[in-house]
Amino acid sequence: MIYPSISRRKFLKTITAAITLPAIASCNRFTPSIRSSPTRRRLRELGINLGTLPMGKWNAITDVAGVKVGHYTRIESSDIRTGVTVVFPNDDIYHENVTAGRFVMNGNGEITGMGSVDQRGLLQSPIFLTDTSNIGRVMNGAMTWFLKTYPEIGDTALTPVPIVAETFGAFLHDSAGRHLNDEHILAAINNAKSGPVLEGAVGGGVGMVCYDFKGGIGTASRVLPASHGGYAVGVLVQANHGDREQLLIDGVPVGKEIQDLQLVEGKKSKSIILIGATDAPMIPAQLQRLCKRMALGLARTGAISSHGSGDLLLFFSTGVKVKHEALMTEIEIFNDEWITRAHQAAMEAAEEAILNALCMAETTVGINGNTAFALPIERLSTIMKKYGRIIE
Amino acid sequence: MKNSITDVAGIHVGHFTLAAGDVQTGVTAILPYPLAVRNRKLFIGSFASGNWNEWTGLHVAQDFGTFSSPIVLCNSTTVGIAYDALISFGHERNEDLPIDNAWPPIIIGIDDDYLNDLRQRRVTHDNILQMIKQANNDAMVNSNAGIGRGLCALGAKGGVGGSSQMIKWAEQNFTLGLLIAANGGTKTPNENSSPVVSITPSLVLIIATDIPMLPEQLHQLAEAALRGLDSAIHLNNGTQQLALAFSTSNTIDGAFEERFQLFKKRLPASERLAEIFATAGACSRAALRQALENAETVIGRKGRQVAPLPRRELESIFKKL
Repeated sequence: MIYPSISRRKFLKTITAAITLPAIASCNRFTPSIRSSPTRRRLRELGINLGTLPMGKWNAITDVAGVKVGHYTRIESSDIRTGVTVVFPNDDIYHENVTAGRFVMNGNGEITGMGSVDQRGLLQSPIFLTDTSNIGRVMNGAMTWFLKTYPEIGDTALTPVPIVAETFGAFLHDSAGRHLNDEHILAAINNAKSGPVLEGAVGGGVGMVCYDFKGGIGTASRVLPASHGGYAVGVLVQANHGDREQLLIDGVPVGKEIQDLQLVEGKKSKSIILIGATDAPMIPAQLQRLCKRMALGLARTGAISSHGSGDLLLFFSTGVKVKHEALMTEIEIFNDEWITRAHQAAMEAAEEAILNALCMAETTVGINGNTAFALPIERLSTIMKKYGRIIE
Repeated sequence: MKNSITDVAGIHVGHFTLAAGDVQTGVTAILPYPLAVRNRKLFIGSFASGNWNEWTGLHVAQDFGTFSSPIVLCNSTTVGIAYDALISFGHERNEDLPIDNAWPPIIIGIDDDYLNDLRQRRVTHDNILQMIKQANNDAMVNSNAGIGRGLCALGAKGGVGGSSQMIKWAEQNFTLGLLIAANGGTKTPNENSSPVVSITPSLVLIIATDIPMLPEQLHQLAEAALRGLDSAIHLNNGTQQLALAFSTSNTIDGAFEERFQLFKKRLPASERLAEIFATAGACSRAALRQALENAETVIGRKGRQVAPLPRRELESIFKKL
């Protein structure tokens, strides 16, 4: 079977043309975005479309109404490559809890505050992503924000547990030095907004490495058919996992096709955090099931979930709101018999979010001169074509 | 025998206590093996009841059934600071943080807000780091030490308590030791909650034993220990109870050596553990009694004064057991 595809020359010409445009104006009709690097493109901008469901307006977790994302990025001298990313399910999560479920694909990681998710099925904290050594710092910074925002905490109201997830950034970052404090965490919170989301080497993703390329933050979304309520499903990842030869894009063994641009020295690091969001009203059991479908999306990028990898997944629904300390709450619940499309959406969005992280992150040199190279997106057209894929 | 969790060989305990006006709090750490030991993993099991809010390190503990870190009990606004101190502890021991003894740290946040002003986070990173390094195998000092300082239980002064017991099982002598952070609960069912209680009163049991077990048995041991308190403590609003049980036998040592190896360990018959479970329940009650008996009056936040449970009430609780 012959697939139509653009030539490599035309592909490169398109890329070059796009680079000359101002970053925000280069958003094409497929995937509006903002970018931290003028030379990087999201997967869809490269003409690679995964799955069959349509994406949301921003192709981001923020397509779920009310969800906001903020980053604080700290890149200084040769050693400091850290930051924090925060996901707010709504504007008052401490008082207006939402349902959540989690899944552990491989437990070698940390996402704090899961007691509330396990026992109550509810989220009462924003979700923070950072590097391993900074968990305590980010928990404490989040606590500073909680105490400042809610004067009743510790006096008449219960103390929430900040949700902080990590991946290990020591390949590029001075892990022992940590280099985050309260003001950085508060800055990430203040930066939180709806709309397009910065991806790649930003926020908690600054120090991350994925399939031996530069990794970091990625996001994507899907919209369920109107017949299924037209709800949005969004995923945001902090990707720091995998070995080069494992990487698949749309089933194509891209990792095996790119033998150069290997990591320069230093210890390799593993783990991925996947955060899912939907406005479909779902109970924790349903959200746990969506977590497992995000894991399938992870697998479709080639991951095997190695022993050293903390592959932790969390999904929340803004469609079920529970006022803190409400004695009884009226809720709507999604029909399980119609949930398959949401499974598909979670899987597709997770897969694309991981690949967006790779496509958007730029080459980063860090501590001890350790270097993680960006996935060479200009080669993808040729590689995808070799395996008979359509580049649109 | 010191009637303490430190009766289980190798276990050390440290306390840091801070008593200054509205701040009546502290931190208690349980070290599962001496600091000189490197790269050891132990099996762990857990059981939680009620609205349990927090312990970190649970993903490794639940997915792999192992842990390596000191277990730190602190108040609920200090969890981040304690976590950060354990990260420092880990980096000091090994720059490859994730594979040594401090990651992921097990930090358990406990609400002590009746007597303590949680909004002042006065316990520092260095307080905790230093306390861990000074942990020892002495007997429990008193109920108001460490995290015990601000705790209230059964409408009176709570705190930390310990107990231990020798067990002969399968023709061998073993030790079971237990530490309780007694917090919350009421003396009788259907009792209106005492006004002397934190907002989310969490009670914690740490059970240590040299009986060789795997996580499946340790989950059951944790449940048995916690259920041993059922006849002494009734639940009030917001009650959270968590039990963590670990075995100092069956440790995995040398896992990071660059060679393939198998570990020879022992697996007890789950259906023959009734006697051990009963002992665990009795140890929980003994530790609770010690916590209540050794408590001393504390004046804390908003001038609140909490005295120990009167002797007569204490006797009536434990007489029926």
